[in-house]
Amino acid sequence: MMKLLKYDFKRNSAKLLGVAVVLILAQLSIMLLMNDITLIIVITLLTYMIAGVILFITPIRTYSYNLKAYHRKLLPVHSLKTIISPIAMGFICLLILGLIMLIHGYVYLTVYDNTQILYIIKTYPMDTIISLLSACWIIINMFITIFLAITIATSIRSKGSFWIGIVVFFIIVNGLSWLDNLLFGGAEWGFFRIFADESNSSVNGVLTNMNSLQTSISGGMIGSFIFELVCSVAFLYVMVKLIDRKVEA
Amino acid sequence: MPIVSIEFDNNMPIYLQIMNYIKRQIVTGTLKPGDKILSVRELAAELQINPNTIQRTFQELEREEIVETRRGLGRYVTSEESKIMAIKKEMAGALLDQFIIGMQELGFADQDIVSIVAEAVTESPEPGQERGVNHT
Amino acid sequence: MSSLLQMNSITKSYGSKFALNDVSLEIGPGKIVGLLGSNGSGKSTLMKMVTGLLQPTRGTLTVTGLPVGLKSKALVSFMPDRPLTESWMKVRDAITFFQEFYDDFDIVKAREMLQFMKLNESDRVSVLSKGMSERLQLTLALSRDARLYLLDEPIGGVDPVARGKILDAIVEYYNEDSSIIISTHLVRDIERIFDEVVFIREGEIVMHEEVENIRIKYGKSVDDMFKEVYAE
Repeated sequence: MMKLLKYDFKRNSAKLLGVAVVLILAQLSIMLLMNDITLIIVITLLTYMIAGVILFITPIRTYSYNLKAYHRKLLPVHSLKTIISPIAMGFICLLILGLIMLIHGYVYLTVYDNTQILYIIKTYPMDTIISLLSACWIIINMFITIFLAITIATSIRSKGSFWIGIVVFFIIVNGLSWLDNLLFGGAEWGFFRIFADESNSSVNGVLTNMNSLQTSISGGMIGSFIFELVCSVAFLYVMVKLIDRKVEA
Repeated sequence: MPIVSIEFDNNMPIYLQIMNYIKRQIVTGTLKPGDKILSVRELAAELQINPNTIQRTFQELEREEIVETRRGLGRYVTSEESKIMAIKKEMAGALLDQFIIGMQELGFADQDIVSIVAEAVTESPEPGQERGVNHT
Repeated sequence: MSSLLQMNSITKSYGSKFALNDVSLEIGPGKIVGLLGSNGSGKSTLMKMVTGLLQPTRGTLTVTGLPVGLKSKALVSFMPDRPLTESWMKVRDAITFFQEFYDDFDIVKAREMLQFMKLNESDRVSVLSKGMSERLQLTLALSRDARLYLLDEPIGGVDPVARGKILDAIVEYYNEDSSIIISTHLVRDIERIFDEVVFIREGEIVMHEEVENIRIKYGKSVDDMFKEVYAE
């Protein structure tokens, strides 16, 4: 696994380094050249968003490349590692970006806090931690579901396989969201709701789940989490079978 | 064993061609009795020939007792003069057959052929002796 | 000794088209086998199936008795028709990649072969000429101590000098317990390094014979035989 991860990183190293450099330069120029505080906040968040999107797309591209690459398919390496390696890469990159954002945000808030955010975080530490963990879980879950759609699309040897993949993706997400809802009665939490429920549509923001502050840990939430966990394991199993039996280079 | 080069004819079994080549080297003295022969791998790489074909060549040569294997040392040309003589006879026989058939096709009678050969041998220059054929 | 490769009634179809049709083939150890056929005859399909890049539609396939999978992949070394490297790599990185993933990779042999092939470890793989690139591919494939080597058109697009080098390397670096299957449509240049040849046409095996037998039985070169089979 670590060897695959190393080569996934190596192949993308130029791009990842580029993102880091551009991000740093952008933040520096924002700090040095801008005065309007609202504009600073908006543009800062925007640059983080763009970096986040690039870091999110990179492992997806890496995975779909690896599925077809001869030198990867020929390796005597278990297919599960083929799936997990790009997820790990994406997760590590986004985690680092998240940490930078957190530190940046914390510094910013201690210097000019004109909102109540820091106060709210300090009052509800458990909620904050759960929000962060849920963001991590959402990212991993999203990768797994997208990878499943890619794997299914790649297993099909016909022309419209790309669109089939996209349709499959939305069917999975909405179908599971519906099931989730049916089973656990609409706890305002969980990855599958993102695409089903437009109001809750930020991907990698740390401040995503502000409304989850109202929902502390409930039975529905744990049930929902277990449901997603079981689904993810099932997805991984299906993907391994597909890679071993159906995906052809 | 010197560096070799053979023009192969792909229409004939390669192992026979290599056998003949080695025999000719022995007869002409390029390979001396008791000389070490290249290994299968070396000869295969040298000639760009399948190693199993070379192996077969050596097996056939061993069967004809022209080449002998000394355990752990490699393969050597036989030191027995009689074997080398046998090759010479064999090759001479082949040459003669070819020659006689050719002459007969030209319409020479057996006696004429003998006298033509006798005449040619007395006239032929010295280096011809090295060919070794006219001893028989 | 049991066979290295055993294919039983392998069929590969795409819709109504057959890439391979009911192919059965057995290859023993210690052989250099020519897989001969024109473009699109099914040579690459057969090789990709042995290496697990393609799945048979029907039939069974084993390598040293094992079904195609993790264990068989560790025993099979494949030189495909496209690069086994990534564009960011230098020759050195490609070697390291193989060394890290294949336990049977022989780094000493690899260094020797690089030198023999006049390849520079610090060269980027993306700037190598076609001939040099094929030499690198061959170096990577032959530097493993695999049981079965599959070389897809190893002398396809290279000049005669490189061709000679590649043939030299194949004869010199393969080991006797394993077998090599070489696909090509350039029969004449390479026929003398084969033990056996398999003629494949339109996805079917039309002949599998020892080359010396072809010469003894028919008094013909493999090349002539090849032309005859494909002229029909």
